Amino acid sequence: MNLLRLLPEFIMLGTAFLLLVLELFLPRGSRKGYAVIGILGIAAAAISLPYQDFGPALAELFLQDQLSIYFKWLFCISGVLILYIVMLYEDTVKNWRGEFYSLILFALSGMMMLASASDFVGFYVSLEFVAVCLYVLAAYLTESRVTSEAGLKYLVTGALASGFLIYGISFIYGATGATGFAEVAKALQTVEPTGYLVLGIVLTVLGLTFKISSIPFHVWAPDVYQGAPTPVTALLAAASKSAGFVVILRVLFGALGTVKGEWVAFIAVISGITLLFGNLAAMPQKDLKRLIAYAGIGSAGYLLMGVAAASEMGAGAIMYYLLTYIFGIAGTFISIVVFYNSEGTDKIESYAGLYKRAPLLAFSLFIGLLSIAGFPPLGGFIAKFYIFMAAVKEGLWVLAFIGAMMAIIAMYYFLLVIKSMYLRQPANEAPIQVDMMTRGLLYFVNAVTILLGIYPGPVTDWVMSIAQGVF
Amino acid sequence: MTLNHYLILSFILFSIGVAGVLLRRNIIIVLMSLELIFNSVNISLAAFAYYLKSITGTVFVVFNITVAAAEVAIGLAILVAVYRTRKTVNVEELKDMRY
Repeated sequence: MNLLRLLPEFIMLGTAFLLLVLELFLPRGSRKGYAVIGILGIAAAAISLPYQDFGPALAELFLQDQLSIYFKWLFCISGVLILYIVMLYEDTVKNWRGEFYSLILFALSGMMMLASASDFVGFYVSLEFVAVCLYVLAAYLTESRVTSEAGLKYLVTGALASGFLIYGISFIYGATGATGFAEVAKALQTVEPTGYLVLGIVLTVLGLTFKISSIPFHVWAPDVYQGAPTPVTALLAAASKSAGFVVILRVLFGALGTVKGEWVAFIAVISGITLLFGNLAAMPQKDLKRLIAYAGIGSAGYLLMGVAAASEMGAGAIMYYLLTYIFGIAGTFISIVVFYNSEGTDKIESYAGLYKRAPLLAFSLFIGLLSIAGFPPLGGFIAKFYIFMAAVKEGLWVLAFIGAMMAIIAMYYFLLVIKSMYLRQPANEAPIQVDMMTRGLLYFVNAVTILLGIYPGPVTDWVMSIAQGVF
Repeated sequence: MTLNHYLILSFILFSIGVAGVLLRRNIIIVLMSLELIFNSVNISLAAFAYYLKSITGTVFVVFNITVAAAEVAIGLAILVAVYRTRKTVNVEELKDMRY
């Protein structure tokens, strides 16, 4: 019992509660100060990360180790970027309330708990904590028809997936008699895989596909990405997907790693179908957020390819992929919000000629989208390269081939957007204003994306050393 | 009564719940079906806990009841927001977003 190991989560929760209480005392009006407090809270949580000691916490429901620290860094980075996006976005919304910030912080602290969950009970409760915050955030603008529709679709799919997940967990519990990940792994070394266990694994994997938006629980992604407030879309795309994958690493590699013969083929099939569906369905899209949703389904397919490889290298590749993905999403969504503030639309055709109106926005979309698509020499390319290497090393040739074909298709639909930004004439020549701070942040995010592509060495060494301890 | 009797009961309830979520058109009935899914899992967890002589499953049931309650509460709140903007609770009319 060492509660200090949950200090980063407590700092986040404390900041979230502080923001809720502040709402009562401060006058109505601009909420920019709330974002600053939130960012300071996240920074405080991040500062405490390097001083964490490793080991179990709270009756072994949680476990602090290198993997959880890495993912907590990812959540802190995406949290700061997303709070900045909220700050940009809130001017366009009437009746803005400070609780939006605290809900984001609650969701992030839940994700941090997920990153260190080491027991099915703690894991399930943290997962639902994140999910409930995200349902509210997705439906936040209650006057808007599309936002409430998006929230409802997210909730119904999410609750159905949770039902599958907990049903699967009950069978794993029944087959092994334990809920701790380490105890389950230990029990599986002696127990022969039974029908209960296989059923449990299949249902658990199906339930987890919701969080990472892959087949078969991907149906929410396009509508929710399009309909939810844009900062929430960024949160879902970057942080929520990372949370889903840290859970998959913990459950499949950690708890069920000894019986990987039972799930590798299943994951490989899901990964192949997800790759094909996400990328092919992205081609005809006309709304940029919806396009990114389908591309995100495709990315989930690539990441699952790393899971299907079921090796240390696959785990490291997933971790690196998520880092590059967060920066790609951040650059893209900051530009989307700035563009939306000025034009009031997310349609791809309205982006025509953006280069003439705001060269920096066009450039960040260029870098962000191509990094998500995996174009060399950007960060996303190195990440995909590691994923392919891990898959080929384990003999998943068919999957790697599908992945390579779909990478070309991803290049195609993103280059269509980029072509219209750079080569078409704008309907309206008026330049779009970007303030100094946003400019600086965009330069920083783009620089990181490029740097992760041309000088990946230190980070990849780090993630590969963390990945050694996943199994 | 053996373990399998309870598991079959739980499976039947789970299937009814999933069918309800997928087939029914009224969102309130969809939320009821979700509740049925969570409760069928509670039966399965409690049965395993009883036959394994382990307390963890029973504890899990308590957590699961809490989570299900929270989820359905949020669901009803969002449902009210949907009803206010559209004056309907039919799933088939929720199709504002296409391409």
